[in-house]
Amino acid sequence: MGNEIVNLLSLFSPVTFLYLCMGTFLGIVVGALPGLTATMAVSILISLTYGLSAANAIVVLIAVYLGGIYGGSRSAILLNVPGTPSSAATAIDGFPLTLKGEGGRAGVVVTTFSALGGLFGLVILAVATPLIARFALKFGYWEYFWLAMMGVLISASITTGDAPNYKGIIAGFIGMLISCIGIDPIHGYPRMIFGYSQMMGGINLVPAMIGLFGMAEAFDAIKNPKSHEVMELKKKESLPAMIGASFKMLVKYPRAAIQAGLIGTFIGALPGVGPDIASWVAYGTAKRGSKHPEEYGKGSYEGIIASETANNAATSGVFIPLLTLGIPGCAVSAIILGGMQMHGFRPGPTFFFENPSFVYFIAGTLLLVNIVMWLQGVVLTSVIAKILKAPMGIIMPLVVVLCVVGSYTISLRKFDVVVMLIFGLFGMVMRKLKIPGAPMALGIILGSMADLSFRRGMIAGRFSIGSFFARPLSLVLIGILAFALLLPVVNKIRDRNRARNQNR
Amino acid sequence: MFAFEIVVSVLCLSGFAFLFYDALRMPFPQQFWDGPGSFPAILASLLFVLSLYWLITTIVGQMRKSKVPEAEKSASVDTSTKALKREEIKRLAIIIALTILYIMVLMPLITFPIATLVYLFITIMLFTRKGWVIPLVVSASATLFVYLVFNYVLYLPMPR
Repeated sequence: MGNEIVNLLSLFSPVTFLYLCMGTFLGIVVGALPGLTATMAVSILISLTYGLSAANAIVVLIAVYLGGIYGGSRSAILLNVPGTPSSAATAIDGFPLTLKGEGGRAGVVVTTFSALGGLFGLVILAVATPLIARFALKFGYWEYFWLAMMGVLISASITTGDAPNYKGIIAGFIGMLISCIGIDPIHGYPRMIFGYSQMMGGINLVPAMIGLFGMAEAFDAIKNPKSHEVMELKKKESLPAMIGASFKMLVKYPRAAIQAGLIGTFIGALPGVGPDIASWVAYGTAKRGSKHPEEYGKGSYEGIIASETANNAATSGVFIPLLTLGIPGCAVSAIILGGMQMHGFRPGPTFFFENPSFVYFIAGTLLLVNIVMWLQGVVLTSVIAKILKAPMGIIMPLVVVLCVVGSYTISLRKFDVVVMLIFGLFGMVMRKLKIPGAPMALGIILGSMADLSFRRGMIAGRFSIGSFFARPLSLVLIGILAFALLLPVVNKIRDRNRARNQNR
Repeated sequence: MFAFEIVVSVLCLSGFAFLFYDALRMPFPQQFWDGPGSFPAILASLLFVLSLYWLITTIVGQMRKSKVPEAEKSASVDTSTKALKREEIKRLAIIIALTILYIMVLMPLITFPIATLVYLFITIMLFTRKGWVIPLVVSASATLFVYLVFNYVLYLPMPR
């Protein structure tokens, strides 16, 4: 438990509310700017919030995360460049709507459905979290080992994009190997430090994340600065009319919205997957079930509703495994978990029952951020369009400076700045080789859990590897893991066969 | 790209082989499986196998590509794309070199605020090409902002 009492009342402090509003706005701006992602913003901010109280720090991180995921939709609609990977599906229909002169309305529609998606996920979080936490109390070392492996491997197999799956698995295992660096927590033996005493304490998660997502992103944006011209919002519609239209969409497309909310929350709750995948799955499902699939790709409101409801529902969903099992749902939540640990909070099954007030605080924060995000998103439509014109040549060097300061403040060591720089260069190489960063992030945070659970499980099971396959709960987790790993392979074979049959 | 993939996969192969050897040498009290080296050894061996698979797939992929007729290959990469790539590599090399210089040389030499001012001024001038007034104003105000926020709002020390 942290040193400070954090409960729902903490949210009613004016200072905390101000941080919440500022964090949400910052998240929207960062998410909207192509090249700056929610992951990057949260990774840099985590150390900058070190000086804040625990309540304010966690509020800022969650606000930036949710704002960032939503903000990505604005550049997807106005520029055809997704501000964050989770809004890539939104660009398919969002930009054609802008070309039709309906960019303003589309912006308000995604704002409304992003907030509704977040709230939908929050309701499921409130219902499912106590049940999962009670269930998780039955977990032993063996199940925790499999859960950690699930987080890394599922993330590796799903987030690899057009790269082969094995590259994601390599990234995840390297992350786990990095987490083993330093003094062994069971026997006190220094591992893989190679004479560097500064590595005794291990590689700090925060500088590694700042390097991997912040520095690498900045280098990449400077390397390839695209000239983004913001489309003019031709049709001038009044704000109340656009808000009214967005709520009418809820009546028009209830199936797509509810379906996307469910998909988003479920995928968000899977360890290691997160909003990026949720939006694509929801978009694909909505298209398959639509009465007008031919409109998809040409400016379908149903399409942007599906993708944006799902990715924001996933932002609530990722907190389900995080609060109940202490396992992050995606790279950003891995960093938020690091932030919570930095302030003395260690989420997990027992933590959930011992500190229900902290869980209410998180739920309250999610609720408020979604409401504030909706208000800011609706009011600031034109301001966001102007911010998108900011040149990358100015923003990115500033990001580099923030990366340096952020990695230093975590433990006031120059060593952490060097670690950040190394991970930044490493991140660049990974991008070049199409190796995803998310599995590595999850590997670094879940590696120590896997290591300790494996060794304690071996001791408890009298050094028999069979003990990892003997318990029914372990077998269920292995089944889920096998299904998630084999599904992309089966899909690939099926697609190949289909293509072959069509060619004949 | 082929050469880069080969170099990285071979480096990975040798690195993971070394880490596997290093993990095996770690002492263990009862059995190897509860010792500090067990989990790193398992990971390093799996990574070695995956790197080997990466190396083989890269070579096989290249061999398949080499069967494509020469005319098709030359048509796929035009000169403008090559020039663009060269420009990208140049920009990347400059920003990496300047950042290493900033962190490893300037910061210890002339203190963080001055190093930041110099770094921002040079990088913004190079990458925006907007003369020297805008880069100077942006870099000076950003440095002052970071300095004030860290010292007087967040009470966090500056890097040395």
